[in-house]
Amino acid sequence: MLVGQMEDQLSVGRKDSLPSLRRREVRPQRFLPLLILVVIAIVFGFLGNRLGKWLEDQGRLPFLTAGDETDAAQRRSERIARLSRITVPPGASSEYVAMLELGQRYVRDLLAVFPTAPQALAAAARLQDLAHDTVAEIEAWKMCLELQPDYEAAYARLCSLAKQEGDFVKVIDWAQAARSHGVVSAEVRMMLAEALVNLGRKDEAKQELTALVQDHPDNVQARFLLGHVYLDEGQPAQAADLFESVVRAAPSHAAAFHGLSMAYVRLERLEDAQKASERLTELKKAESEAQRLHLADFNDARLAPQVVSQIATETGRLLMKIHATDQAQATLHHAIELDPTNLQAIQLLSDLYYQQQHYPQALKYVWLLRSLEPDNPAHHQNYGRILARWGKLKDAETAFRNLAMAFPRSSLGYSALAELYIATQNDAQEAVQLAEKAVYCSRAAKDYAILALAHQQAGNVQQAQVAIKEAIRLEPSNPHYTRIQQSLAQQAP
Amino acid sequence: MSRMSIWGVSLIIVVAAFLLTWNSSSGWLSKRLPLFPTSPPTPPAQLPSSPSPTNGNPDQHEGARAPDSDFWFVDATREAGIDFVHTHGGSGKRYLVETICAGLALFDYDGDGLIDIYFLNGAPLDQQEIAPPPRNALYRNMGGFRFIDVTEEAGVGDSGYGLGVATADYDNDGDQDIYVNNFGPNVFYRNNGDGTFEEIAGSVELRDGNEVGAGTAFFDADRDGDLDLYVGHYVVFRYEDHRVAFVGGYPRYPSPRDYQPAPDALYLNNGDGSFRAWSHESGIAAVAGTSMGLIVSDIDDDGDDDVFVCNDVLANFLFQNRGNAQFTEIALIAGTAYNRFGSENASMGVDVGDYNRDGRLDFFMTSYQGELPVLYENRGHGQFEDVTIQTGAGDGCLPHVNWGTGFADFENDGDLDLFIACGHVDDMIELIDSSTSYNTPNVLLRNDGGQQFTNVSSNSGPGLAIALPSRGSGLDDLDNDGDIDVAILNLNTHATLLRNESPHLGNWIRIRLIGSTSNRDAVGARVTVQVGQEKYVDEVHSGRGYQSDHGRWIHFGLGAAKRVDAIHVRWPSGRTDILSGAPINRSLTIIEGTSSVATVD
Repeated sequence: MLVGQMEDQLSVGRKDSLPSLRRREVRPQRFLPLLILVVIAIVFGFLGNRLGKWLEDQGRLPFLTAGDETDAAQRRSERIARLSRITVPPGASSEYVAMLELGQRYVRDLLAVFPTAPQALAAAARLQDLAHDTVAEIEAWKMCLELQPDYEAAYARLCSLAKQEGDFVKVIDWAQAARSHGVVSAEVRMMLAEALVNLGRKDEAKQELTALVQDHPDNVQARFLLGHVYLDEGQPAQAADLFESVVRAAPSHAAAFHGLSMAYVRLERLEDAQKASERLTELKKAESEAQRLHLADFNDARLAPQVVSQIATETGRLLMKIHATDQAQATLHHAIELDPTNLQAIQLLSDLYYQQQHYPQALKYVWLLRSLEPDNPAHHQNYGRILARWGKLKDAETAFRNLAMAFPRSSLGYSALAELYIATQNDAQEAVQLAEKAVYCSRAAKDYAILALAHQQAGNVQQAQVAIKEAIRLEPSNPHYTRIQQSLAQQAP
Repeated sequence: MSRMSIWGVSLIIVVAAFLLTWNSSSGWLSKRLPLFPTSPPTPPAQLPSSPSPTNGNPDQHEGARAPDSDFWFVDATREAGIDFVHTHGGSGKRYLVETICAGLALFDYDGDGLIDIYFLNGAPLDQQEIAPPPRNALYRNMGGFRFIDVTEEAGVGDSGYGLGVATADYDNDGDQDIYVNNFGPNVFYRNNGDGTFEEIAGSVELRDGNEVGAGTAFFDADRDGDLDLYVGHYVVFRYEDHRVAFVGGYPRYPSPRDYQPAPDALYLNNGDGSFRAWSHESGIAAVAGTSMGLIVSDIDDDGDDDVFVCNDVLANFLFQNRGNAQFTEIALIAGTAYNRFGSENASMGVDVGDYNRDGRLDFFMTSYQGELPVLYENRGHGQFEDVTIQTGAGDGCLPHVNWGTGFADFENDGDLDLFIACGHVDDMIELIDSSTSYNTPNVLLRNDGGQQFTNVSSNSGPGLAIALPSRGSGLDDLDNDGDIDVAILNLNTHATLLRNESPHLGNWIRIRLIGSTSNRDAVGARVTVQVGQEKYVDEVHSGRGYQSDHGRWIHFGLGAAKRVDAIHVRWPSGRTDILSGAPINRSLTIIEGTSSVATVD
């Protein structure tokens, strides 16, 4: 087409459109009322908005609560959706990425089915930790705390993350938030004390550490740190006492020998200081070599299956709660497959089989627990209990007797045997003796209750009443103990 | 359009305008229309609020000085003509040595009274090739904060793998020589006095084998009037021992713990321009460590020089000189082996200075992420105590890896502040750890009256906002304007030069010593400036901070003092000179044995 022809066509087009424009000639005065109305509407709208916000701030809009909830729910679901997403940055090893993706599938399902379960949020937090997304991890722990403000693991991790950032004030904030919700774990308290020391708040640190040592006499780190506080305060004798107690409990605690050496120098016990320094040097050499060997085989990608296994365990636990037993079973099996040393998963699977009365399988997993944790008497007790429930009473009795012999200072063997005798109405006097031994070992409410039942069976109602009274004193909210007390009251002359 | 339809459209517009305005920015509408029933809201737990971002003055990035700021540093790298780019020589294999390089030296190589800069560079590792090959670079100070690259004409462009550097007048001929501690054979440049150097390491027995180098320092170990040489060694490294660690699914650099520690070396100056190995005879080689930065200082005030060596993830060394170049390692007894809690730090750089003006020199040592750097306060009688927490000397450092460091009175108020160069070893660290960063702003701690340090990094100008993986740093007055500027070597990237534009809060004095009986650079001399009842103490060093050298000038901030009553110089020879009538706000030269000062300006 020639340029001239194109111009002609265009000019024709323009000419065609002119008449219609002329017909709709603009007359501004026709739109003036509309303009005024729009301005009025905007002004009223703005005023209404401000008024609404003011009323909202004053808490005078109760009729909007449902809407708030919807909003909150929407925000929450967005937050949850964010938590089940992970960013897999390039460069991570393929095995690690595979684990991340597996964990993500678990967490996504968990949050879809149990959006208000704190355990699900905790699992999401662990996944984000695995994905190195600290912001998302913190968000998950915070959401977990919104659902369950006394979720201990959340505080421990949040304190730990703040400590990692060197934000000791934040550590203290989290630890105090934990305390305000009744969480008094030694781990969180220890981090609180460390933060106080690092901020130079010596008096508070001393107070915290002193209480921690009182509550947990076996906590060597608390003793160690308290030793340093005393050292700073110019009280080397007290410091030396504490460091000495640490090295008695943990003879390879190199740093305690360092503290001890410093304390002895200040006490002018130079020979002792020299000995402590020599021991410190020996231990540091051994530590250094151990670390070198550890590093020679280090690849923390191996930890990823353990984390995903924990996530699967939480999934299994929640599925058990809603009686989705087949899915729970499969999930827990997978958890154990990922981490064959996952004690929680093994325990839950054993419990699940026990509930389903699949006693051979339940025994198999308790046996596994016993082999993984041979020094834990609870596994031995569970083993006997499953046998008892299976009806193999002689085998159960043998298991409990072995437990009592293997762990003579633990109440578990005695109390289990006593319970067995009570349940089988067999030899009430021996049940009493066994329950007394259990009480002697533990002074726990549960053992007082067993003692009460044993006395009841032996016809010693008065002694039974004394025992159950003690159980109730220790655990006033346990309805089972109240029922025993009522039953004893009916029996009383 | 009919009249009705116009009014209809108008009505819709009006209603829409009303509703939109009403509901804008968290208005009511969205809250009034629940779509489905929801569960009752969960009462919020009492949680700590999120950390607020640490906002400094937003203007500072544009270079406007904050009104309340005592310090102001600007990035003067480009305008100064410094175009040095460091190369770590990595090929992606992640050799340990890539993470620890390198240092720099501030010194006056041509004797024109202006401080020049020598940057060390890396080299291709494991038979790779990089074109053009990286080389060390010497920048001559032309005055007015302008530098030019004179590497070629000076002949100091070593292409070995540079780690540590020290400069000094080793042959007492009046000019500065350069020793470079490499991964591989070391080089020693003797200054010809005409702006050129000659590499003589082989001929004077200073090749030092094929070790992985570290910090190095000249000092007069045997007090015979010439400078001997301490050479730090990092680890025993062989390519075939290298393996990559995996953390969080990512490859990471190995740890020094993966390798065996190596003993350091001491070379005694024969006085005829040659050296002899003295490591075993001196006791230095009796212990193996993982040396990083080091500094020589008379820690026990007995007139001879002792050596503080930072060891990476091992206890530090403190070699006490028994007076005749025989050393005993006493760090554990002295309290400098570990931090206050008995932990060995990944110690990096070290400097010495009297932070609390008690007349005794204290050590400040940088360290790794998750560890506080350590301020070892000198309590006298050869005893030191970690006072980091009490003094706040680690403020802002914990999440980062810290390297170069130095005490300096940046605003001349009379007390020593601290500069700390930061940057992670791992270029992928952000992928697995959000609490730290590879590129990290450096840290400036203001000394508040010798008792407490305050982190003023975020309010000290655009120079302190630069985030790079810094390593060695040097502190000296690069423009002779009476305040201390900063040169920084950044790993595998360009260097940075920070010009100090802080408002002068006080007067100052700058002293250069020239030995006659003592070594000509007066390394090891102790200077005490008396102002009324106040005493300011410092020493002359060669080799300082992280594998670096800050030169021989001593700078004292004097605060409001209008005059200096006396300057006491204890020379390495044992002689003491006391000078009076020194002017302030001047650079002075003092010659051993004379009781007068020369002004250098």
